[in-house]
Amino acid sequence: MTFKHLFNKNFGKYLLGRIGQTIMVIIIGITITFIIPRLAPTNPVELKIQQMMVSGANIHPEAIRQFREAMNDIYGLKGTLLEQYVNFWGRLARGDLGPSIFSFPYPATDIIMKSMPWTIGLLLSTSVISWIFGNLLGGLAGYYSNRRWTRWAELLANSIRPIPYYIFAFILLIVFCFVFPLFPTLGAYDRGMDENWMNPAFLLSVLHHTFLPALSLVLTGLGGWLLGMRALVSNIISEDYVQYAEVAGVKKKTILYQYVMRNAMLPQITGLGMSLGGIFSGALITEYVFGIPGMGQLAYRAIVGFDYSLIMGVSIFSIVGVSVAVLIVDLLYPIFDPRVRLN
Amino acid sequence: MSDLILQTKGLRASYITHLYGIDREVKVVDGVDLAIRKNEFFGIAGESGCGKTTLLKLIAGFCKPPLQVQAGSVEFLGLSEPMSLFESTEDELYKIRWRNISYIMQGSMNVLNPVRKVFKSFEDFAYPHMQDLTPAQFKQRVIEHLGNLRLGKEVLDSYPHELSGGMRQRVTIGLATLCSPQIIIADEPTTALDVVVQRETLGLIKRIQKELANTIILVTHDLAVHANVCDRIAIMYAGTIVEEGKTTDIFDRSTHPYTQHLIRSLPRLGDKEKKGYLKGAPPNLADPPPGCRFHPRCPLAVDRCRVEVPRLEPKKSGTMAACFLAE
Amino acid sequence: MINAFKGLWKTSGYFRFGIVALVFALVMVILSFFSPYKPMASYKVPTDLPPSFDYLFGTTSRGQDLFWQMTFALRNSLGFGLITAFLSRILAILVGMYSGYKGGWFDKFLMSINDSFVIMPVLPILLLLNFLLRDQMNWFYMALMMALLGWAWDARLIRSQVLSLKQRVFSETAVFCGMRTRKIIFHEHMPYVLPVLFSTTINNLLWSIGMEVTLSILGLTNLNNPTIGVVIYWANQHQSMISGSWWWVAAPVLVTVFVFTGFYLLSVSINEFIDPRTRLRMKGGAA
Repeated sequence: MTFKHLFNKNFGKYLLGRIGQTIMVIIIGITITFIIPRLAPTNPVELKIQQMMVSGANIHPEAIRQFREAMNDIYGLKGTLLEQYVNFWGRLARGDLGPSIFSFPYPATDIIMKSMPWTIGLLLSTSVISWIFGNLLGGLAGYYSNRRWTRWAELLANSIRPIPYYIFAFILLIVFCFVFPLFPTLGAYDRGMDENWMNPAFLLSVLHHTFLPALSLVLTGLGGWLLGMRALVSNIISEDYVQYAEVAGVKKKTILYQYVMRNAMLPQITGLGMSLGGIFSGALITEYVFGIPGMGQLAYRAIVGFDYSLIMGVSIFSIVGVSVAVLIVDLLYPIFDPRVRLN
Repeated sequence: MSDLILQTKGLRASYITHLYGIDREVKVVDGVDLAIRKNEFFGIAGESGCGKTTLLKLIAGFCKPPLQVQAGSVEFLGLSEPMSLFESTEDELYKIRWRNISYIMQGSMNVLNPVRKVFKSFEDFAYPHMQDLTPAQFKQRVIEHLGNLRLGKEVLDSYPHELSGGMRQRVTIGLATLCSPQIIIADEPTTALDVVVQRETLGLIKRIQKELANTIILVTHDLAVHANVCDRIAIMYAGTIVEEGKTTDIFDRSTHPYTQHLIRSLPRLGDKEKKGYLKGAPPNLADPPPGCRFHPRCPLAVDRCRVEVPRLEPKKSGTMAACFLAE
Repeated sequence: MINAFKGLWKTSGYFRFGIVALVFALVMVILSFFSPYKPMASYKVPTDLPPSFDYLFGTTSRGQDLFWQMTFALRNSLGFGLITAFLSRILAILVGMYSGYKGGWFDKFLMSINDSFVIMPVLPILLLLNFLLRDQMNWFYMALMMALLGWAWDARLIRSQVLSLKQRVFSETAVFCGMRTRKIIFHEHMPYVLPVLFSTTINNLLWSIGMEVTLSILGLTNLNNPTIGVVIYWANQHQSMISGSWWWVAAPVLVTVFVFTGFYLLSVSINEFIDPRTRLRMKGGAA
């Protein structure tokens, strides 16, 4: 495969189309995130003021008015809807999400950036692992469909797949942290340890803590890929080129990997892109259950603490992050399917 | 005996399925005796669904569930010892596949792996049987071979979808002939092509047969193709061979009613005669009629035909036919 | 139909399990109408009793009989899921079938919007919505919201089915006869789309109840109306794991796993039965 194959006119069109789609998703998503709070009867500024008044302080009405104005300004609630919208995008472009109420005056952006690496790390590793192993096992199960292990693997996959992320994570937590206390419950590393990635003890601690949440995500995802790949492989086995290779006596291993799996995994690549949104939601939930300091925990704290800008920030980051990830997956597709390169 | 290359004796095979409580057996090949000679162009003709493709796969030694061989044997006689294909191990079969018996498959559209370059397909199919060559020698041999088929070496670096239909067909032929096998089995090699390419391809296959002096077993429903290239033809109906003989004998002096009907229905230039048609439809192979399978549609059927199964016997015309009423 | 049922029952373990789960769910739902307690009642029975013959699932720290709570929970969760699935079916069918049939720029436009909804991570948006609207939120609105966010994937599946149907000869014949588009879509194509619809309904149902469970556990829904998630929420609020009332969490979790797995296996077995390609695949393994 040469670069010549990649950089031709049709690939350029494909690229442009995908980028356009990504931009559209981001615009729609962020607009929804913009509109929802403004449609809500509850106003974060009023909420904050109420909170302050409830705490018993006797505040001068003038101070309240100035506070309200200042907060409205900070949260971009001044002016007409259109003005607010334009303003919103402007501030987003500068990376300004406003300060977090909970941890005032730290900017929400900074707080999110700190927790993002945990989420990305968890997400990246588990989706790659579950995709690769799920497809591998599914391919073998589809090709050797008469063996007994195939039926057991299918049964296992079918049993795990429908269970919601929260329930599965919760079950793992109970079984491996309470019933058989093998793993620690909360946090991404032992308390009292400094976050030092050079320290092997720290790394070990991180692995120990993140093993269960990662396992939870891998298992819930693996079943889906396994079943999908198995179905794809069963269809591909009856394709002409596979039958021809079999009649011709091509080595079974070659047929399995180069003829069957290489073709069957193509729709799975697209499928990976399409399921990233769902996997992301699952990652957030799993983080919450296991106390990993990622965006899931952040979202929960923000909800409990009425931290408006933090919630907005998490939503926006999620939308942008997932859209870009999907774009990357889509762009990787032509590497695997030569028919798309020229067409 | 020594001029035969392949022989089937009483071959019986069925598709057997058990599904949701329903058991079914489709008797797709029901007692086939064939004796195919060396250096011969042998044709098998018949309608769609008569079992030709399955028979071909069995001749190639290929039998996967739900297909099961119920009785009979296929013997390959090209090695020093006769080799019964369905009693051999996978390894023994692997040795003769592609090297001694190769296959040109129906429909050139999709027979090559779409995500693999053409040269890689050659490596997959042929290189394991030509291990005495170095990789560089092998590549050179392939380039020369394709050159004989008027395909340039850029074909090797292309993907199947980048080639035209005719080119793909020539690649498939090249694949099948690279190891100079003793038998080449061709399943409807020209059906998916337009007439011009069809003529070219047939000419190519004829030329190859003459050069390699091997056996080609050609299957197609198009009798005109058979008339063009084959030395001997077998007519197949509902899983059995109903007539077999030299091409000229079949066309001029056939004795089985089905064969006669097939020959009569071929259009010829200047022929203004109205063509008849056979009433009825080919039988359901899961529940075939008793006795001669053709009797429900045969204009000459008598009581004996409904009860006894006729066997292939030599007739005065020079062909072998399975009919009680033929001489 | 009866024969199909019998055939499936005899041969498919998945089907048997699924029917058992279905019957269990139905029994629970019916029982909920005969409950001796009101759904929101509390402190009616002694607190924190483990499962026994008197109290099948035990009692909670709020003095509720867990068994009867679960009947309400199952009824409400399933009802919610069904409403969501129903609403999103309508959207999925409309978009999928019209878009697939019309093609052209209409199709491209709808599909890019569709893909936006598929790609967008739904949870943050749901969190945002529930966070801000929790007082106004009743179950119907939430179902509506979920339907608006969950139709996209299935619309795509339906559309690909329609695309393959469009190429078949009977579709062209219908057009040449002058059949109106709406009639073609709903009379000619619909019977082929129904199997896809059925399988996606169950998946959508499970997905939406899963989302509801998640949101309730986070405390974002109407917490007085018992659903599966709400029961778990209260269990967590009262630290049931640590205080020893493990049954308070175990009951909803086990019921969820049982019902979800059962429904899913049911849909898998029925799908395999309906889809002719599965039969071909299964024939390949007959010997």
